[in-house]
Amino acid sequence: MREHRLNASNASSSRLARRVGLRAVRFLNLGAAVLVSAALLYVSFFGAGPLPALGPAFNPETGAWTMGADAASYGTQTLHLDGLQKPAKVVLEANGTAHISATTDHDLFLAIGYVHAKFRLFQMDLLRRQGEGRLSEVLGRGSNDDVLNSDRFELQLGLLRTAQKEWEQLPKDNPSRIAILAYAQGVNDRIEDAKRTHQLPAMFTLLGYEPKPWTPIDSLIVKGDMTQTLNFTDTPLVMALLDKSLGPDLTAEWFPVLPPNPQSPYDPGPYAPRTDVGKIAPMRAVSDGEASAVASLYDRLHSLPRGLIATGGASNNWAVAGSKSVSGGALMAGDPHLHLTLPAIWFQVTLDSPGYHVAGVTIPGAPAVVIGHNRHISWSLTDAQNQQTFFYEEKEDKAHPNQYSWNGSWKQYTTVSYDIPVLGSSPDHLTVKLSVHGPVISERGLTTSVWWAGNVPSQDFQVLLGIDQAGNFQEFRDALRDWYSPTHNFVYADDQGNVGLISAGYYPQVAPGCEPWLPMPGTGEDDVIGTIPYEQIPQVYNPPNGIVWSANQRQVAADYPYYIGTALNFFDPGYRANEILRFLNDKLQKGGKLTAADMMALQTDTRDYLAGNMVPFLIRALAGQTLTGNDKAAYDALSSWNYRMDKDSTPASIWWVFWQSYLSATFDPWWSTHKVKVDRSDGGNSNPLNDMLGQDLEAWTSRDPTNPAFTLVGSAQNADDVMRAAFHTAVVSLASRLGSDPKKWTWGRIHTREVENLAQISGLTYGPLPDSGDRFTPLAAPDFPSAHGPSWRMVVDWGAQTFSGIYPGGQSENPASPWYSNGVTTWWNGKYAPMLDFDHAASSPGAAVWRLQA
Amino acid sequence: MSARRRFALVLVGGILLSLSGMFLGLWWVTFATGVAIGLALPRTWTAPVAGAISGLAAWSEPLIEANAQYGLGPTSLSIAAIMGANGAALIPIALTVIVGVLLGLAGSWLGAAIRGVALNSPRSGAVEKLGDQRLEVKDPVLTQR
Repeated sequence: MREHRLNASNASSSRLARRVGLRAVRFLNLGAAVLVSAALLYVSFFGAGPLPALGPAFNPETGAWTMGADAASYGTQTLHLDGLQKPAKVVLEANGTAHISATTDHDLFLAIGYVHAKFRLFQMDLLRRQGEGRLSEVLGRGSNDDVLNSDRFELQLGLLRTAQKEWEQLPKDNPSRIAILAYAQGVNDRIEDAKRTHQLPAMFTLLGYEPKPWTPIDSLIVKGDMTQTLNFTDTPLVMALLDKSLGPDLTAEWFPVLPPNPQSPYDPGPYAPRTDVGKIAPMRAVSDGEASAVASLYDRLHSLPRGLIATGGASNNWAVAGSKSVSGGALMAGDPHLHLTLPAIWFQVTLDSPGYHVAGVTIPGAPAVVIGHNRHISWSLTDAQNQQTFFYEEKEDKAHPNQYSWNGSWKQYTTVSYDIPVLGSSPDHLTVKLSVHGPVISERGLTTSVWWAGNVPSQDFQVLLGIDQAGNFQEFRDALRDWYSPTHNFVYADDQGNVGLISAGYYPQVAPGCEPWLPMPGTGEDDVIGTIPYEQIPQVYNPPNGIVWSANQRQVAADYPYYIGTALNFFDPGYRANEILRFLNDKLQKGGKLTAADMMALQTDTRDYLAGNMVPFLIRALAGQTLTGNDKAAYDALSSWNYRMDKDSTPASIWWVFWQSYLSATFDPWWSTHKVKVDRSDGGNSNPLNDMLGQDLEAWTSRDPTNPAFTLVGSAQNADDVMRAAFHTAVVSLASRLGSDPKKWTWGRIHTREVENLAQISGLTYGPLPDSGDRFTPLAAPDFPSAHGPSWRMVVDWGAQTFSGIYPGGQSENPASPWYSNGVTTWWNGKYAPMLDFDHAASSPGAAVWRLQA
Repeated sequence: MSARRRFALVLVGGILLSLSGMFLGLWWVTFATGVAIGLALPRTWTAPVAGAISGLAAWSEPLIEANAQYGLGPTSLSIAAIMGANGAALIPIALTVIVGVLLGLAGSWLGAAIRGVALNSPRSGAVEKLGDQRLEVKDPVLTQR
């Protein structure tokens, strides 16, 4: 009995234990299920590390896979757009070129907005976010806070404040206000459409956010981005650092106002007189404190993402009068050189409405054709590169906190505060101080503010729309009167055979005796006092030789009576301009007349003008020397070279490596002994510093071979000594890099080109592939690999009424679209596509029609 | 209703529910459907199987349909490039399907686990009784009695 009780008790305990164990297992199972589910849901909702939020990203119905559905949605269809006044049409050519026809101007701009957003919404969002300092909101702080630093800098610089002022100042009945508003409506129509049909671009899904509605300010910001990229410079800081390390005299000699070599200004004068021209020499000495503050600011600016500071420009344009062409009509060619990206900065359109009949390229986010033609005129632009950025050192005193001395009195800084939203962390608070000169962008050591022409409110869309509608040079010139920044060389040709070129924009002037090439005192005496009168800015119309041309060279000759910038800030050395002039003159002298085919050939010309000048000096220096092996082979190759930087050329490689070696051999010892804090290699071969030093080297080699600059190089006494050493160094370097057979040292093995994906996704980048050209050839291809160059090529023959254009990209930002990169191959091969009008486009094979209805 | 029929009904319903959710951008409906499947099916092994199948079907069907309409190649290659797996078009497809399967599987596992705990709770008399009976039959001590 007792045993039975004991057994019963044991059994009961065992049962209980099993029940407890089983329940524990079930709870453990539940716990494990909860944990695994939570982890999976977290990654699916929020992503982890490099993984995007898996759920929305990979949802086949609404995630990244919708790229395919979007790419398949370009066909003929009817679309309903809010705000449309009357039905409109969009024709899409088989290559994606968009042609918009509307019965009111309002509807035309609304339709442009819709079409831009349909194909480029993510790009547009990035562009506005960049200028508005809102990238951190969707990208986070970035590595080393680079994204947040970009936002901080943009808000300090003030594109947003300028855009807000521009919008406030735009009269209610101004046509550009109407255009910008209608455009915003069109963009928002597309955003709503895309949200409703789950067709937002995949990058939104992958980054986990939706675009906010488009506003007029956004369009003004996009234009501001371009202004900043093209002409916000830091050259006065560079000059100050050079001054401090090399000394004022050497800096003035090596970095003069006027270029040391002959260039080909398109406006050679004569000019209206002016006597109060500032001179660069003698240059004042920069103090230790000033140099320290400048160095700090310079480092900050150079740590910003690429594109925020203009470091050099490269574009070509020219026109030939009807009297000099085979067709009897004017010829025009333009190829603006910009960062080559997929999607491209350009979107090609033809626009037809009661007020507009214009074709060309637009910038997504902006409702105007920037480069193109209408029924009577055509135009293109290059960056004019005059100085539009001035730095001021504000005078402060501890007795006057938060004030600066200006014009004899203490003035309070204005402040503006921002809270920058940052993905994954709390908002970053930023207070921006503003002096009369502009925003304070550094308070380390000295308080430095910046006056930048891009911060002067301007009605640029009004100007662009005026150009789009202009019918002759007078109207074209009148429209450009209100163009402030960036200063551009606008080339012109019309259906009457006329040609012209005008460098429109602000040319800020300071009082005589000031030194705008260095940071200036902010006490008032050195303030910008005005700009060159419009009638006296560089311009030319129907010159006697019948040709006009620009390639970022200094536009005017030495006797131009105004200061427009130093040779370092940051005019092109002029080699492309010289080559263009040489080509055109050569053709005119030989054959008498030019054709559109000549224009196309010149746009892809690979002749290096500098090589044509310098190689004969090298050959002469090497002549009489006992050369053997690779040195002899390289010498022979150079001796018979045509100076073309073709990708299969071996002398092209020898020349380029020699020139870099020659620059290094001459200047590196100076940089080392004087501890120069400006990095010559910064920015690669796009560094304007190297361009300037190259001009010096060219001048000394040809006219001053015993310049003291050569004496720091070992035992060298003159240019010939240094050239011979640099040549040997180049040959050894090439053999080391490309093998011992000089016949295999082709340029294409060194020099490649790529068209980068805008989001820096290497798998969506085109290239890099071997390509011809260098930074000095009309076919511009700076850097290694080169991601900069002709972003749009256009050739117009008004006599034959032919209009051709191509850009290295495609109309769509969607990488799954057939229009993502379909123009690249054509462009790469130097070919063009005809720029059709609306009717021809509508009847072209494979065209799709969108009927737009309210 | 037979277990097999119940399984089929729950599975088809789950697939349809999951597909509808995804079409609306509600990808998490696949998981929620899995939970429902786990709660609805009595046997522990059937729920995960049904959940996984519903996830697989719901996340595969749109891909199959898209492939038939305009081809998945360019899209898949583009996604692979964005992922840093240039040229590996199968990876995004596989990853998509795996995400669907995992969501369905995890959901159904969670559902089944909840069911397991809830139905064996002391406050649930019927289930407790079933458990006692099974214990009594298998307990050698009690059998002796």
